[in-house]
Amino acid sequence: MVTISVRKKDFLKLVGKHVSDKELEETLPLIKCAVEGITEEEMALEITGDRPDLLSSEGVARALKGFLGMEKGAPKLRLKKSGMKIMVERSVEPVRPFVVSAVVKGIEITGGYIKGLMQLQEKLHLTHGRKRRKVAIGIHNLDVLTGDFVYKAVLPEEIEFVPLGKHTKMNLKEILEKHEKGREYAFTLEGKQLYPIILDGKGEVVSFPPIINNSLTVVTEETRNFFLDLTGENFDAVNVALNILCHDFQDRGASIESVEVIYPNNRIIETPVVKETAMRVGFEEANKMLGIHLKALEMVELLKKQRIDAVAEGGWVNTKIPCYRGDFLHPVDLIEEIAIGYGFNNFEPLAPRIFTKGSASTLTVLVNKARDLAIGAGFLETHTYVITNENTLRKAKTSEKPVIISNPVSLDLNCLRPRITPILLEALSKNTHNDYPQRVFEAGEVVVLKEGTETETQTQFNLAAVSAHAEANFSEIVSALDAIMKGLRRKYELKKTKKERFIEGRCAEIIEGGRVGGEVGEVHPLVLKEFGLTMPCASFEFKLKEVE
Amino acid sequence: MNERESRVLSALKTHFEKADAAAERIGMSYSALMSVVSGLERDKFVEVRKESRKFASLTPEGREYLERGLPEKRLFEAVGNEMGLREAIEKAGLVGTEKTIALQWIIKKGWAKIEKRDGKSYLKLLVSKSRVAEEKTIELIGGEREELKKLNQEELNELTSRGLVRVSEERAFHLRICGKGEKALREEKTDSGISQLTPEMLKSGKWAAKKFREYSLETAVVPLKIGKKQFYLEFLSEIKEKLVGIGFREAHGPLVETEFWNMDVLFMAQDHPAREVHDIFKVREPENGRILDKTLKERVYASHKHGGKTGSTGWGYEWNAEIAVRLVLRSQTTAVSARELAKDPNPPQRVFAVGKCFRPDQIDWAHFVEFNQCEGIVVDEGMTFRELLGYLRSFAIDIAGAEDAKFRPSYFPFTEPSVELLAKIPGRGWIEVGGAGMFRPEMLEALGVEVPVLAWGLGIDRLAMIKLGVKDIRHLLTQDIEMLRSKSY
Repeated sequence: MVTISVRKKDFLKLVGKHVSDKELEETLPLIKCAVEGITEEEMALEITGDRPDLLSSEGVARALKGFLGMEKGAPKLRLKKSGMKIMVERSVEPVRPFVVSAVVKGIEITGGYIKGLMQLQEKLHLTHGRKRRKVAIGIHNLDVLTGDFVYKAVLPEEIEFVPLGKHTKMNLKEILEKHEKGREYAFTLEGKQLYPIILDGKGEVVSFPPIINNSLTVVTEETRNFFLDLTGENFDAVNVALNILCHDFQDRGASIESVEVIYPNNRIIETPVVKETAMRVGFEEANKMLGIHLKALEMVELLKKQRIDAVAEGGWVNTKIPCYRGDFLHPVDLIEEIAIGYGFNNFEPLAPRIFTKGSASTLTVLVNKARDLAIGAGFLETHTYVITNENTLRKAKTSEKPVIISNPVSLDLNCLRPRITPILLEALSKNTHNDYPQRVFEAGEVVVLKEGTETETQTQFNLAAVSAHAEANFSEIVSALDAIMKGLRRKYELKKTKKERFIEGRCAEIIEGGRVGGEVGEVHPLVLKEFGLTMPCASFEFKLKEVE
Repeated sequence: MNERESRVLSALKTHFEKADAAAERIGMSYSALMSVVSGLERDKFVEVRKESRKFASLTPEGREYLERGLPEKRLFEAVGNEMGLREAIEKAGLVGTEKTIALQWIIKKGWAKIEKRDGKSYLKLLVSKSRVAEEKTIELIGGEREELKKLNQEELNELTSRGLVRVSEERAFHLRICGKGEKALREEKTDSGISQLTPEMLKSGKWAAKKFREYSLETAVVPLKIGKKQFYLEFLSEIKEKLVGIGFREAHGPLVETEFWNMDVLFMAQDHPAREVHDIFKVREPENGRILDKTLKERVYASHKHGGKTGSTGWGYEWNAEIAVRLVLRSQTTAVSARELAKDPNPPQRVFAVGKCFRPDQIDWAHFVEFNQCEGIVVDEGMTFRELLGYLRSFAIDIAGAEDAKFRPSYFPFTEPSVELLAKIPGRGWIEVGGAGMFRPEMLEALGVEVPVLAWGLGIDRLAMIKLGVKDIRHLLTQDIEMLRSKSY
């Protein structure tokens, strides 16, 4: 999900008719633009991740005009030839192999427009462009450039120019090290020997994709003609983005001109490539999936509403998908368009009709039994987070190694608990002002390491309990454990053990079927001190069952 | 008068004394004393004065601010006169949610405003001294508790509404013996009825000749600290029961997953933004797991590269098994559904899972890095989109307690069509409850499923907050024993 901000007046001008706020709020969410906020001046729209063509006012207006029946079918790009060329050198192949381009003439820039354009560029970079790795967009003032262009890869210190936002010349290596954008996007060129560069006919640097443009080509409110360069790792992806931009410019009254890109071996591609994608869907298949009974011709109309050209032929609906849509992989994607055209809230929900036997898992049944018994033994149930930190585990002198997160949001939340007791002690440490006795338990998930398995770990449910009060002791906690074990009909033995976290001579391992299943004991005063507890505590914890 | 009554009566003083102190002096438990007193009061032998006192104590958050100062105060002091917003926050040492709290209050209190210049935000102070009254109140309450009447009501209200202070009521009883009681004591012979039925009375049958004393209903209730179920788990149990009731079988899955199950099997391309570090927790130790099902691995490879045999174009890239074996914390319970389908791809099936998921979200009142999802799938011949909407509607109404439901298109890499469910909750209006859809053919083919599968994932924490009247998602998993004792579902 991406949120964009849209100037409402400008947007309604693009739509070409007045639409009330209420109607906007009701209609836009039905075409994948959820309205997050709406004021006199602006709208905040949340766009779903599959629709980069909706990241601008122009794109949303185009979709809305279709949905409201004002325009039908796929909009066409009226292309002229600019006569400009980009020569692509073989050196870019291992670096950033693809470039596409177009020329935009006669755009009327009005207040606030540039902001919308920058927003589109930024959001396309972020989502469709995968942070510029897959697609990067350069928008330049055409009038300061001379054709023809060269796209090649050079040594980092071979070329220098004044990057946008700076006043002095820097070479490419310096830009990556010192320029804000250079540092931000340096990862896209990590490990590359050569860096990509676009030069114009005079040998002037146009841009250093995907990092920064030359300050010379900066676009202002006075700019009327643009030169676009889009580079990336995947031809289809850069071409979709270019088509999105060209359609948006055309919707603002600009004329669009193509650029010839000459790839190695003299393979010439005129960009933007505007060949629509053909895809077909069986109309019975669509009806069957949606659970409705539309005629093929009705489906054609619904697709046209979604700005897709369609005709009915035999049992098929044949479509041509406009080049600014890159989200069609399979005919089910067309079926969704039919459903959106139909209107999600026009479907009559159908009551469930199959019969299957419902059941709680054996794990849940067991966990619930254990919870009931612990409550019967007088313990108060807690439910705490599985995510915790190494410090809490250390304070409880936990010997098991936890699963450690490599990108924690904070140091307080950097691992998963291998046992619950440390978290219960932590909880008690926050309740020293509340009345005692405090007897708490949790039947919850923990994650322990288990080498050689599919996930190298084992998720399991443990039952842990702590009793804290002036007379808490081993005898009390063992009695509770025994009652619960008997209630669960589990045979166990206690075996004396020595553990740092318990008082010596007052702790034991719980042995089930010859294996250690848990432990019970009086919490060591040094552990209590770590948690700031001044009440004696006795605890037990054992494995209930593994998640299979 | 029985033995216990005369014991109490003779011990009580002629001036008022607190009941708990009296109990200790007499050597009786408080509840035993009060049950005896209840009868004595009815006979006007004892006078009971009820006193209700209100106390304020700090919540865990409040206690934290006691130590570290209110976040807005810390921010105020860090700023000086004017400072870049980000620098000020850093200087004040604010972390996590404190940032938003500090900003919200510093502005609300009119201490400072935010100014934007050259695309950068600055914090500019508007007053020279910040009012410290609330801080004083917090200090006054301190680590223990303070009687309400000693505190400024206005500040207290503000602190309570911020969730920093909790008010509790304590009812105390004061007792003294009355003239009639003294008289009765003197006339020990006077027998005024049975206070406590004893085994001896039952054996001898002497009870039949006597009257039982009545209890006063006000003094009979003594608070008990019982063991009880956690309120949020009760909510989750109810959801599980409802799903079992309509024919769903429960499933579970591991919390640490391979990227394979969490994403690749779900047809999420390996360069999908949701796979990046800001959307998923990666595991450092241990780093990699393994893929056990070789056939599935081959099929997933094919579906990503060219769509397999489904007629899909696939994502058109070279799928990399080394990325797929990396370990992550489960970010969606759909991983559990995928595992269930791999175990048994045959219809008909209806499966659900209520499970923990993890995402590195910004933490605030509505988001935490660990949360619960409720996932379900319906696997059968002839399942349709309309039927999916039928399930969603019934969840909204039967499970979320909504009065109406509506739908809008959405996007998930593994479903098409994809839909979002909105539920109209009484008193709350429309809220987003979850996402759903029909699993994509690329995913189903890899898993060997030959019939349509309806799937949905509900964000049940939001629902729980509404149903339980909890304003902060973290309170669902509270460690506050007072809240655990007092709150019920």
